[in-house]
Amino acid sequence: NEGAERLTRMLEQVTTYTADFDQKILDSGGQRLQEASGQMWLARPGRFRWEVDAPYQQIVVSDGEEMTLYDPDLEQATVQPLDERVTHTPALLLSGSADELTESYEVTRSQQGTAETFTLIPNNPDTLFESLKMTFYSETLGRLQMTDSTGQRTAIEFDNVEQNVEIADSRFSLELPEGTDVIEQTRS
Amino acid sequence: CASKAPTSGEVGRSQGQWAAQQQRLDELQGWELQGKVGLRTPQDSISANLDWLQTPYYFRILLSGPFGSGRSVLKGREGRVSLTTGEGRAEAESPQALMQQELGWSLPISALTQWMRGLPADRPHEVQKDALGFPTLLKQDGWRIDYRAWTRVGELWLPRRLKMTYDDLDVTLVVTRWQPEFADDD
Repeated sequence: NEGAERLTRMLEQVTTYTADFDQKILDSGGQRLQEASGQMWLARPGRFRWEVDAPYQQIVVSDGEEMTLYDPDLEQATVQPLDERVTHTPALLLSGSADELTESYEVTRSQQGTAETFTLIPNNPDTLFESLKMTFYSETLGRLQMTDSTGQRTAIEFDNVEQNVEIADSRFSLELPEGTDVIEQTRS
Repeated sequence: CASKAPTSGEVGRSQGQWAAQQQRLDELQGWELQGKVGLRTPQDSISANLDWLQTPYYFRILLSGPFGSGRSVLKGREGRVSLTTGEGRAEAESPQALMQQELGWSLPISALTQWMRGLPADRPHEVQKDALGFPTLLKQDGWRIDYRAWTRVGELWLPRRLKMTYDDLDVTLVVTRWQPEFADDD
């Protein structure tokens, strides 16, 4: 359908995407439960880095094969293969192939001024969220919002966005400090 | 010669401070804290962000993964607790029973409101202290709680890092930010 094609075209123009993010978790009543900010790097297909630096620290890195979640406070890192269920996390969603995205979601499109919003409803009920809204401002992704079946929402705003700029490979790998407790997880 | 100004950096804990702050600690009736929970069982390992709001009549604990995924909100008060996860909402009388039923693991939430402050719950327990008189080990309800690090919050020393074990369950609790609420705060 028209929304899916438009979204696919816009995503396919993006080979890399870098931005500062501000993430808010809201309960179904809209009350803010948690806020975190940091930076995201993304290179299609499948590679990304999500680095939270305030108010806590946490890094999630995917090299396209496996995803590592490193928590410096816990001195712990979990490593898991990129599998179906994990690919529905927003960062991976964006770095996945565009047609894969539009195959696994019902896509509808709406426009308010320069803000173009795509609402994605997953075909697979086992997804982490019930709906995902992606808002583009003059064809650049500016906002993501995920709502789960109980109405809890995660809203992520992107700022200082740079697209299709060279990103060093080292950005998508992680040197874990001595003594980090590494946990290999077979399933997510 | 130049007089050496006291360094304003992290002033260490000192002898007797723990005993001296007991009264103030009891007046600590609530808090907002942010931190991390790491949990390991032989079958599973979880690491989550922890956002805990505690008041005398109500508590709300948010556990969430990166991108707000895997979010669970445990809230309520003594006798009536609800747990909302991505899949739905459930209710029960005790937080522990609810967590065990919904998440497959649980933390002794009621006792934790004491342990988080370095205090035992009002039941038989065993405490070992370090040379400065601060608790290093607390054994209670079958749990073993090691206080690994402390942090200065206003004029109070509060735990920053706890290692808790119970049978084959191993929990690490790290507090990255304490915001205490006192009885005499308006």
